[in-house]
Amino acid sequence: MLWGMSIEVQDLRKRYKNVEALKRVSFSVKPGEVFALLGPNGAGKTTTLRILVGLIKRTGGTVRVLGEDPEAAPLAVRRRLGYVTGGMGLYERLTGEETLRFFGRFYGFREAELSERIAELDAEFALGEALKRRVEQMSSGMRQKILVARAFLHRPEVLLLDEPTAALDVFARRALLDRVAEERERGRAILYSTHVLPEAEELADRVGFLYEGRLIYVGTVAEAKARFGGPTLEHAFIHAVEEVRHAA
Amino acid sequence: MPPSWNVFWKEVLGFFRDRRAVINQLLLPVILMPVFAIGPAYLIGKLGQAELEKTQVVAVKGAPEGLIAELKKARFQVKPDPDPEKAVREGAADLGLIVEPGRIRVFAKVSQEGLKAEALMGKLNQALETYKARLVAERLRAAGLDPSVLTPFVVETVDVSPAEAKKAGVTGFLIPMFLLMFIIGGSMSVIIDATAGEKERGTLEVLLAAPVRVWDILMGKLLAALLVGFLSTLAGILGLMLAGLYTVRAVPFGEGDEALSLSVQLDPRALLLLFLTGVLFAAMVVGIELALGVYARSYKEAQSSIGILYMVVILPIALLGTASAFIGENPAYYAIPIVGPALYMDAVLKAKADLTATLITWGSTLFYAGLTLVLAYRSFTREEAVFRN
Repeated sequence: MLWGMSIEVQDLRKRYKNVEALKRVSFSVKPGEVFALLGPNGAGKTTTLRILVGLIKRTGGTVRVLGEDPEAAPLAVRRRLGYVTGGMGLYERLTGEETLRFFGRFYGFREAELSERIAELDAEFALGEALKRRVEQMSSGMRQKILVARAFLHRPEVLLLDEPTAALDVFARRALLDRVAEERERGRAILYSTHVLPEAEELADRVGFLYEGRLIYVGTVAEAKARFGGPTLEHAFIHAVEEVRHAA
Repeated sequence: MPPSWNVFWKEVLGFFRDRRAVINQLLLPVILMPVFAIGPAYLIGKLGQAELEKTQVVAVKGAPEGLIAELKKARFQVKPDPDPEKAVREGAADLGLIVEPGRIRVFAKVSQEGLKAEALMGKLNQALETYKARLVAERLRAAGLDPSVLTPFVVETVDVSPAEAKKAGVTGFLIPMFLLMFIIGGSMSVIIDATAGEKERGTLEVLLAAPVRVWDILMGKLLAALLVGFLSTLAGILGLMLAGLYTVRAVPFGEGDEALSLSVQLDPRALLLLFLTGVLFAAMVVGIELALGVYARSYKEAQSSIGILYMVVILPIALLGTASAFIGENPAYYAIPIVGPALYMDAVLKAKADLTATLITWGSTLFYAGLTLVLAYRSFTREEAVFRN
C-alpha cells in the first residue's frame, strides 16, 4: 500500500467482449479526501466502482482498497467500505429499522449491538419516523436518510458513492452533500462518482475526468480550471474532452 | 443469524407483505381449484340433465305403433310429418326419424348443436335400442327360439388393483400434475421478485456488495421459494380437497365409485413419499428459476422466460397422464428429469412405487437439483448475468 492511501488504482483495464470500458486508469484516494470521478454516462465510472467493491473482475492492472485486492478478498474489503448507488437499492417492503438490521447482520452485529447502533444512527441522522415506516411509504428524504445510515452502519473507512444524488429531491440532495463533507472531516476516504459537475466542484479535493474509459485528467478543481480554462469545473471538463477529441 | 437465514427472512417477510402475491399464491388456489374442477362439470351436468328431462319433438314418418309407444315412453313428443328432415332443419322438431324397411334414418343438427345434439341422440338411441331388443325378442319367440340364445355369455370385469389405486381412480395422474404445477407456480413469484425484481430495483447490486457469500444469498432465496412453493401447494391441495368433497355431492353424473371424484385418500407413508419427492423436484425447478431470473434483464423478461419453463415442465407431465400406464413399468423412466418425479408420484398414488423406483427418482432428482443449483450459482457470480441490462 502506498503510504497512507485508502484506494489505489494502477493501470486498471476492463474489457467487455469488444468494448474496452477502462483503459489504463490510475488514481488514488487518501483518508480525509473526497476524490470525484467525473464523466458522462458510459465513461466507465460505475465499472470502476464495481471493480473496487469486487462485484466485477478487472481485465488488467492492480487495485487495492485499504491494502486488500477486492478481487482476491471481496468480503474483507466489503466489511470496511460503504457503497451507495444512485438507484437507491432499498427493499420496498422492509421498514427502515428492518433494512438496517438486515444489512447489519452481514457485518457481524448481534441483535443487541444492532439495537444500540441503530439508536446511535437515529441520534446522528435523525431517522425518527423512517425507522418505523416501510420504504414504500417513505418520502425521498426519508429514503435518503436510511440509505446513508445503511452506508455508515458499520463505520466504514472508505465510502464509494456512485451517482448518489440521482434519485434525490433538492432537500435530500443538500443533506447528502453536507454529510459527505462532514465525513471527509472525520477522515474517511470518499470516492464520489457523478456526472453532475457542480456537486464535484463544491465537494471534491481532487477530481478525475473519465472519458470513454480513459482518465484524461487528475488534479484539483482549481488546477483543472487553470489548465483547461473556463469559469466552472463544467467548462473545464468540456474543454478537456474537446482537447482529447481534437487530438484523436 | 446465519447469512442465508437472514436472506431467507427478508424474502419471506417481503412475500407476506405483498398482499397481491399472498392472494395469488395462497388464497386463489383454495377458491379457484373447486371452481375450475367443479364448475364446467357441474354446469354441463346440470344443463345436460335439464335437457334430457325436457320433452323433445320428434318428427316421424312411417313409424310403427310399437316404436311410437317406445318414443313416448322415453318422453318424446311424436309428431307425424311427411318430411322429418325439413322439420328438423327449420326448427319445427328437435329430431327427425324416417322408418324404411331394414333401416331407420335419424335427422339431427349434430354439428350445429354439439353436446345438446349428442345428448338428444343418446336419449333417442336408447329408445330405439329398447324397441329393437323388443322386436328381436318377439321374432325369436315367433320362430320358437329363446331370446337368450343371442346372449351366450356376459362379460364381467373385476378390478383387482390395490385399494390405493382404486381410490386414485382415473383422475389419479392429475394429482402429481397439480402438485408439480403448484410447486412451480408458487415458487415462481418469489424467485422473479428475488432475482429480476431485485435487479430492476437496484437492490441486488447492494446485496452483492455486502460482506456475504453468493452461496448464502442463493440458499436464502432458494429456501424462501421452497417455503412459498410448499405453502402454495398446501393451498392447492386444500382447494382440490374442497373440490373433491363438493364434486361427490354436487355433480349429477355417476354415483359411488364411478363418481367424478378428485378426492384421494393417502396413508402417511404415501404422503411422506410425495412430500420428499416434491421437495427434491422443487429444489431442481427453483435452481433453474434462479438461474433464469438473475439472467433476465427485467421483471417482464423473467416472467416470460420462467413462464416458458412452466410450459416446458407441465406439458410433458400432462401428456404422461395418458402414456404413464405403458411406460411406467421401466425403472429407467424414473431418472428422466421432470417426467421421473411425475411418474413416481403417480406410482405412489397407485401403490406401485417400490424401493428401486424410489431410489432412482430421488437419486436422479437430487443430482439434477444439484446441477441446477450450480447453474444458478454460476449465474449469480457471472457479471454478464448480474449486470446484464
